[in-house]
Amino acid sequence: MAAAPLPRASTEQREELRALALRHQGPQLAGERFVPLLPPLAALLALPGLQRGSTVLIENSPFPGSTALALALLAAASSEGLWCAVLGLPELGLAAAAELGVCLERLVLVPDAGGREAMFLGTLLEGCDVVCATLQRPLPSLEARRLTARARERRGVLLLLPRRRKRRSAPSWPEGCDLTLTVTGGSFVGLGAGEGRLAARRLEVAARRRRGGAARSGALWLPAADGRIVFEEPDSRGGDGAALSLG
Amino acid sequence: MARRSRSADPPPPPPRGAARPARVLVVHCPDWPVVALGEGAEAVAVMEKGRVFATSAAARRFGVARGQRRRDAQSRCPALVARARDEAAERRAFEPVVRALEAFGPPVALGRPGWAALPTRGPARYFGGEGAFAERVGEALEALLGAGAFRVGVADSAFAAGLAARTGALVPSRETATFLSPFPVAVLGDPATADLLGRLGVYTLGEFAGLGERDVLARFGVEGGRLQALARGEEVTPLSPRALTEALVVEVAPDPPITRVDEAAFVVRALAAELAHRLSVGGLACSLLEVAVELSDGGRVVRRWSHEGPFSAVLVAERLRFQLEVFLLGRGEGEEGAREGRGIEGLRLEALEVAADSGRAFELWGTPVHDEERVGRTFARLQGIAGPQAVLRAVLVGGRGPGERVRLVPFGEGLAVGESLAGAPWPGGLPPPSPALLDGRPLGVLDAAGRSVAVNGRGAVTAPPALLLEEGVGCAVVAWSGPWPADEHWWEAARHRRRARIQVLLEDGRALLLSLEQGAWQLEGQYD
Repeated sequence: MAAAPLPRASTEQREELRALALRHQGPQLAGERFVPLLPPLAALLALPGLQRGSTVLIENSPFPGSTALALALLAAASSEGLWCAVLGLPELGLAAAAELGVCLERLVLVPDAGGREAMFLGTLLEGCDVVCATLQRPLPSLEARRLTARARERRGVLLLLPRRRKRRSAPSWPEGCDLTLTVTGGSFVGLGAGEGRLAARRLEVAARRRRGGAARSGALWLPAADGRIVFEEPDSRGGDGAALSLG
Repeated sequence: MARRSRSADPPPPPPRGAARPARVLVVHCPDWPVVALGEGAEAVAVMEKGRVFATSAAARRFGVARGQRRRDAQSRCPALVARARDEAAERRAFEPVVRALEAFGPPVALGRPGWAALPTRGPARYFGGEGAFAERVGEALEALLGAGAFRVGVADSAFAAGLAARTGALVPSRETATFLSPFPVAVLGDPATADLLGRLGVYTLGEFAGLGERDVLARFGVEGGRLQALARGEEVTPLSPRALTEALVVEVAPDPPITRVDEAAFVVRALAAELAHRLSVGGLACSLLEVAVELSDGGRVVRRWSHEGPFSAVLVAERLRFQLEVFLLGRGEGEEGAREGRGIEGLRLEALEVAADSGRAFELWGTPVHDEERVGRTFARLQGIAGPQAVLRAVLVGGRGPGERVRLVPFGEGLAVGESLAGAPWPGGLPPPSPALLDGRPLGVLDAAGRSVAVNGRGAVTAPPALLLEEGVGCAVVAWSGPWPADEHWWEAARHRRRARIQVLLEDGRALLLSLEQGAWQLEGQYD
């Protein structure tokens, strides 16, 4: 072997190499590649779980329901003992989280990162399997790319949730995401004119994957009247084209 | 003393295998759950799962007994003070007793709080006989607890010594079986077997011990065999002494006092490493850690941290470093500016609750299930940077409003015992689903004629809500329901709150939970 000095690799190059090495590891079991999802969500996304190392974005939407959707995504992971974190979002209703199946024992909250969001996100990704983040202001592209790489390297899932009062603002993540979810509609059931109570909610969700192309959409009961989360089979809506469309 | 007893006794029929019975002294403090509460009242009952678990002697005189429901107990003794059981407090209160016993030398085995056993062989020889030793123990405990608060018994097995302690008896060596034989089988503590034995005509331990060993095994299984061995006065499970607690305290008294943070961090790291080493040598895991800091201005701060998973010196050092920064620089906790000349004069770490370290499980395919240590270190690092309040954990407690049902505690700290009432009924609370986003902004709720909507004394709205005014922007109400009134803490003027909640569905598709308090509407949460 020649003793010529090796060129020093920059941080990015090293990250890339590590990512490359990860990609070329031997076969892995499904449990290692995916963070578990509740069966109705897995049915909606046609995925066994959220791919580890991926970035998931819940898009801004004029319809309510993004927060409940994010909580439902955390439910199976936290109840199977994986660590989940929520960054930002001090107004999160944790009673709702518990009702949707999130195990609070495995949920860590960082309500206020105090302007050091990128640092907090990076550190949380070191220890948690799923990190759900609501950013106060969009991150610079470089930071975002670094965090995406960190998620991939640490084999966690970065779940991005839009800011609540700026539903119609520009997307808060400058990078492309592996999976994009959008709430495209919804309705509440149970309230009348001075009677009844809010009992159930139907949520229409569209999912887009960066790779694999096919976009899916479907309806979830989040929750149904009996408190469970139910995936509405597309057939049961009498052939309504909005229920499932493969693009 | 052992030698003397051997020469005095004729060679006895040896019980199975055992060459020489182990002698055990048992200290039993009756009604310890009551004593540990330190309740001043005469008649006290300690409740567990809605039933009486332990009673004071005064309460027993009224006929209050274990297993009664609270209502029955209070009907027998109206002055009864019923308190919830606090096992952690019982253990803590028993700690001085254990220390006093450990001063005698042999390691102490603990059972439920209020019960401790120690082998007598060594100290009995030293003090000149078991009787003298038991007297010394009695003197030490009398100084601590007062006369009559404890009993001491000695026998060949811990079980027999516990029974001997009831009468303060000293059962001579090899006479344990004779001592046990008149006791009813119920004292074995297995109601099902005791009941069955009674129906078979076996009423006393002596009769049970006399049955054929094989027959007992065949009829009652391994557990029955164990019970029979107890009845024969044999030691079934060897005493499992706890490690000496003195070993689980590390302290340092720096002179001159530490005034710099980095210096303090260095000392802390060394202390934590020392404690971690002692724990690992003993094969122990620590679940509750106490940190005491003495400051040069006379202040003393004690913090307790619950600690999950394996003990990590790094984790403790990270957490403690932040605390010390607060003390030294006076930052946070409402203090401003650096405190000149403030230093740390003493640092002490103590592992309060220790248990055998069960190790970490690994998955079949080689990867660790969860690297709890790494996870804990991650959060501790963030807490070290931004303060313990930066990383929180949610605990469900009881409440009516969606925000009141959850308490946020800094990661790594536990909720005080008895704070969680999540399972209790909360009349007036809303059934699920709960709003996924909480708010708190004021808003206006108007009826069709543009007047503000109120809730009258009968708990009904004055008019159906028709329009919601959020920061000057109106939105029509499509559907609504309620109100659900909640009158909380009316018995306490300072905490009294009267609220009424309604759910509304707006034209733009949002569903909101609103609450009215003292004439002002508030957006309590959004069903997002």
